[in-house]
Amino acid sequence: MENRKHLDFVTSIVLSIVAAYVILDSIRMTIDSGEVLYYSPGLMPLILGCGLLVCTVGLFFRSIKDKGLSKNLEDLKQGISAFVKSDVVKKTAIGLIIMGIYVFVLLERLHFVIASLIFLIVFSLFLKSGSIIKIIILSVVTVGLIYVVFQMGFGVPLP
Amino acid sequence: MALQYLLQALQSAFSPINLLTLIISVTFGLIVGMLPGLTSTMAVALLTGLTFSLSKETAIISLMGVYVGSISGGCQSAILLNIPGTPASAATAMDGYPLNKQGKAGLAIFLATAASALGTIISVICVLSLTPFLSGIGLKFQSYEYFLLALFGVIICGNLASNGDALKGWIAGLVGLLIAMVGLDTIGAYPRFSFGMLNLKAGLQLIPLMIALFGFPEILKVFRKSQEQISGMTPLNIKEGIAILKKNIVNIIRSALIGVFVGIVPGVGEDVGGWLSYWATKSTSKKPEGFGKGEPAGVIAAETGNNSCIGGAIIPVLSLAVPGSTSAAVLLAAFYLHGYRPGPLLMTDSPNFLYEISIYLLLASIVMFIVALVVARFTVKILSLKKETLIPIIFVFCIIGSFLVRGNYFDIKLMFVFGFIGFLLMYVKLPAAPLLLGMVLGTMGDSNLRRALKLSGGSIVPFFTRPISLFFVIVILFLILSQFGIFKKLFKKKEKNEAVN
Repeated sequence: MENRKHLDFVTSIVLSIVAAYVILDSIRMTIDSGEVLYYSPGLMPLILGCGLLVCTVGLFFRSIKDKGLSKNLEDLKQGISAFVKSDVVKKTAIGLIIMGIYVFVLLERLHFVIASLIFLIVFSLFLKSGSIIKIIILSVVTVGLIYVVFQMGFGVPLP
Repeated sequence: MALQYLLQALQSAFSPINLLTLIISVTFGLIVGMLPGLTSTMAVALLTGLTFSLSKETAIISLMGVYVGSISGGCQSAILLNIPGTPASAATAMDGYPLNKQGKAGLAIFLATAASALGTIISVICVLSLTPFLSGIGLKFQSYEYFLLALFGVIICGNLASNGDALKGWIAGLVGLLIAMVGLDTIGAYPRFSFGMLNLKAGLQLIPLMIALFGFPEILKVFRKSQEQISGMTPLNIKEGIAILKKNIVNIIRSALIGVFVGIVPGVGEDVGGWLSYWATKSTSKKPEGFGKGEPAGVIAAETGNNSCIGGAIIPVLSLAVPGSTSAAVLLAAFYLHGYRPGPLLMTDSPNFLYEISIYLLLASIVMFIVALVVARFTVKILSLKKETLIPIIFVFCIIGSFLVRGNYFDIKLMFVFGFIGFLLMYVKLPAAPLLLGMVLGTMGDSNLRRALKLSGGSIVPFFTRPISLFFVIVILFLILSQFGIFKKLFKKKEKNEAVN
């Protein structure tokens, strides 16, 4: 828990930038809409942006108060190197890539049944969830059931 | 009239297709609830998209079944694994697992299941009695009160659902409110944060976002190593269980009422209900030292408390369109999806809906009790299911659930992107509950604030002169100031002064 405290430091900086952007864009919205501020579409985003900025600045100073700037930066460096070297992170990244390929490539180019079948087999193999025969049978049964229940049973369009 | 609505609801619930749906959905909910890492919110969110093509009644029955089943199912893994299947059952593990270690796993599961059913049934009584009352108050609300209600919901949820770090809770709530701002604004149709993209101008759909926030992070958790040792099952000991339940009637009623009131508080989930009930029972017990070592009263209190939150969380959904928990937030989105309009006008526009929900909840709890005891024989086998086998299938269902809401491929991409963002937020310990509540309440807050200010010509004075509005202002200020320790400092000063005098 303690060794992840530097994440507050990073979170506060990233979200402060987001808050600053929201404030600027909401001012633009107010001017662009031609409405008075209290009725303009930028009012709520402006309030939320200011609120977020106040909270993230609070979080920033809290993390500085807890550890100091140099210790936070040092922990951040160590955290990044541990993060990059971590096996869990590598596995998660590969898993995300497989899921990303399924969402952004396979589903766009192939029929849902084929895309899902490929995804289920590849992802299950990556997770080492069983023997290849078991994985193929389970994947075919799953996709077949989904197709029968949703497409044929309920008549709903699949992606 | 009420009796007629109740009979109509019963007739609808007992149609063969709806009864079968209820049994299947409760069983599905129980299994999801049992499996550590798969939450009730995720189950309800996933099913919401999948119920899109079902009739209104069947869809709502299935969602109620999954909600009740998943909250109740968590106790079985808490008892057998010492790992709560859902956060709601965390308090159950305190005494459930020690009971298992004493060779009383079956008894503990019977007590937990019966307490869950009783908790839900008591909460149904509260739904029937409190919803019309709250709706009546809601009718007095104008734009000023609705804006403050949205703000109150996000702040109190930030305070209570952030493990003692309210600042992070508020940040999550504000981010959620900002996400709700994406798209055309509801008053002047001005595009906000849409970057010229047509799909963003249409606004972000709640269901894919909910699947992303509650399903996706659980999928990514599969990459972490976990060591779970499952203990064996023992007989249920129903006779002994009934005798213990009889001795704990006061405990059950107290825990149920605590759960209902925790459920009513916006965004505060079943886990808090379980813990508070457990704490109250331990504090009032003659043998508090027995708690944590296998005290049946602990199991009963925790399970009654978390399950009665279900009804409690539904009360503000029906009466004010404000969700009492994250699962209830998903339910609210599901109600909208199926054409229901919860809120203060519910009792005048469609009063039958309240009775339908109550009957469905009641039947779901009874079905859950029966199915859970039958399923208990197979719990060890279910818990032996490898997460690695289930996760790829769950991801495919996340895809289908996101797509079905409006048949737009963009929603799948949205689910993936926000799923990753949700995972990052979880990694930096920003709580998901206030984020979700912000997303649900954002539009209500925005449109009502601007309407209120338009009515008052830009003046904020009515926020302080209208009684209900002033009440909310005071409560919100209290909630914020309490986090800065101001009241503690004031009390200390007073004590010092008294000591000097």
